[in-house]
Amino acid sequence: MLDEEIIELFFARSEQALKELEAKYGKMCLQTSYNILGNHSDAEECVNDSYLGAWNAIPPTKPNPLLTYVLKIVRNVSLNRYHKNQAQKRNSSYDLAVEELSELIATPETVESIIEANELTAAIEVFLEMISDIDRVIFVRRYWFYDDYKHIAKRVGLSEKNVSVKLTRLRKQLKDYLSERGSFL
Amino acid sequence: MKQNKMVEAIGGISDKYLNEAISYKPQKRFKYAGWMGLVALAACAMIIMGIGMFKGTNKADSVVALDINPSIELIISKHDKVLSVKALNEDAEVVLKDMDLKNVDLDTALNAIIGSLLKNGYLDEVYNAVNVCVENNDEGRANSLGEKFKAEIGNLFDDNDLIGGVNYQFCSNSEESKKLAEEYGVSVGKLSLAQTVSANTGMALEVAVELSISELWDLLDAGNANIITKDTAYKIAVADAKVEEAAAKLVSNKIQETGGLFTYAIKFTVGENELYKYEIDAVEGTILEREYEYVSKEETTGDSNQNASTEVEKESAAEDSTEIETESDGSDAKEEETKTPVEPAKQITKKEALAIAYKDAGVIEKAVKLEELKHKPVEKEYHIEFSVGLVDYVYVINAVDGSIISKESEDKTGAGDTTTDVDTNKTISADEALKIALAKAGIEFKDLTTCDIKYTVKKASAEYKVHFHVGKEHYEYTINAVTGEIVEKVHPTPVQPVQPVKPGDKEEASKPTPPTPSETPTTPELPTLSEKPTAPEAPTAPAAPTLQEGHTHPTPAGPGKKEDAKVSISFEKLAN
Repeated sequence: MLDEEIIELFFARSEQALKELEAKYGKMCLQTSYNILGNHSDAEECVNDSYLGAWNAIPPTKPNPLLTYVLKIVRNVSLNRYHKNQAQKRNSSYDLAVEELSELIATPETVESIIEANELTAAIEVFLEMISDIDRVIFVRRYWFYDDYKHIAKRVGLSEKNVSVKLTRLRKQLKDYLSERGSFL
Repeated sequence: MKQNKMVEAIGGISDKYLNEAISYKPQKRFKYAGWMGLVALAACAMIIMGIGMFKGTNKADSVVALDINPSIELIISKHDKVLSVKALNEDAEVVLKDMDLKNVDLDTALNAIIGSLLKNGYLDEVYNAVNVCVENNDEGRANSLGEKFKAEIGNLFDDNDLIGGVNYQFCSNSEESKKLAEEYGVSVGKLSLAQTVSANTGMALEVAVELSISELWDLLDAGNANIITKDTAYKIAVADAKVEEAAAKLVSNKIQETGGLFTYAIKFTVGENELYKYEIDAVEGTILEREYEYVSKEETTGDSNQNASTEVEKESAAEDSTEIETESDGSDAKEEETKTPVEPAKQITKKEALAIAYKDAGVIEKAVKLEELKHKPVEKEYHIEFSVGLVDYVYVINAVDGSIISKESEDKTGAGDTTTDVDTNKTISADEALKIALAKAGIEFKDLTTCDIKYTVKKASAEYKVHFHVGKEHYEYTINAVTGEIVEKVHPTPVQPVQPVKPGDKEEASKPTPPTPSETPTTPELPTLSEKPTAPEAPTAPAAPTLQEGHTHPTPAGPGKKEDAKVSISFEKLAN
């Protein structure tokens, strides 16, 4: 079913909308949530909560594209759930991804305090424009979707090690870029 | 905090990046220039001698060398007939074996060569790169031939559904180049390419000539990448392993390329038992992967278990002593001062990883034959393979927190996979299963003619199959060993042929009590040592007839019944 048709079902307040949403994007939503939480039952709950969020938001919202809209809800809901669970464990793909990101802002007192989140987002987007397509995909898959190396490798047709090395270099490049940018922001 | 800030910031990136990441598909590439390809196909070097040097249609006009790691040199006439073919290396000899291309049209010869390359597995990779280097006094003639080769090979790739590209290169025809190419065992074309790469990247020429054509072109694409030398890479590996360079014996050191990433794959040994494998980023010199293996010498000692345990102890002892030294130094930084290559800080030691695996498998270290132990610092995990008796185990342990990422075991006795999710402490006993079945059938034990209980454990479930006969009627129940629920029932059917009643069981026949297995056929523990896990011990309850596999017991007190009730319990563990 086309996204537009699913959204029409949402607007018609038909519960079929949720079924179609699940059928079309459920797997991807579940994977994204699982990447953050590392637990299937929690991930399923979060995905269901996200569907409810979408149900409440559509209408009036008419998202285009639908998938990224729903994935953003899933990500937010899952991150909230993660922080609730955080005391219990630290071993999901999200943990590892976040750990890797922590090194990017080397001087928090000079960069973090200056760059607000939206400015940092803008800086990251500029950085994403500077790198190759495949590097951009690898970066986004890792740090937005929190895919593990294995999944990323399969998606982009490289070896896990290759992905690992590319990410190491990308983080270094981003770190350097942010440091430079932080000096004039 | 800064982590959250980055998470938040990345979370806010535009949808277009998400869409790209969702819809991205690895691109199939075919290009004549650019060369960001993966796998080597070849260099095709064409050396054209001046037309004036050869006259007549059957005279050599051009010399064409195809390098496909196989390096093939063709001499062709000015009318594009192949006059001779020469294999420049061993791979080329394989490709050209039994092929007679003399006086064949160039198109046909190329077709045959491509076919042979395919047949011999030189063109089965993701991306095939061909370099055509044409050497001629007449650059115009060389260029036109180069373009012809590009087109012909490109068409052949298309016809054979191959992905790849062909690059043309004009080469000079100097005696010096020929001599150097011969020295390195490569074509003049490949040498020329290697020289360019060497000049651009700082890579030693002897290293560059070992690379495939696509690797060389990738390096040219990489532009100013500085490749460290083999020796430097080896020294990095030896230093990381914390062994004396004099004690290390180099086994192999080869540069390789995957997806644009150049690495040195290095193997060296220390003594007879220790094998180190390293993969080092050829640009940055960072260690991407390190492995450490014990090389078992069981074939020389004849006592593998003892040998293996000795090795483990040796390793443990080494680590222990190091830890003691570390403590005395009071320096955390030296904690990893073992021979084991371990990622600095935070990753558990091999000894700890082994202990975790052994504990989980329920085996004792001395009984273990360690087959393989690999530390993958990039992936942050240990890969451990060991066996106890006839049971093989494979564990992957998280090197940071010591958690078990995955585990497998295989019972080579035929008992199958012993890993199970079933909580062995919560399963019902065989006699409880029998009671459930009898209650459901409304039959008392004393009325049974035969009885057979089988316990089966699978990955996610465990169950009892209870078969019994009452007279000629056959009953069969499948009972969930955890919940006690009846999963399946079959009854009654005509009796199966009953084994002849054993004579001479009178003593047992006088015992009135129904069999009560004193020992629950317990489940699914990982087998230990070499004991076959499928053989339950005979229960010992003195008042009850013993339950043994195939053991025959009397039918208790059935009026007029003289047949014995055969109660047997057998255990089998099935693979997933």
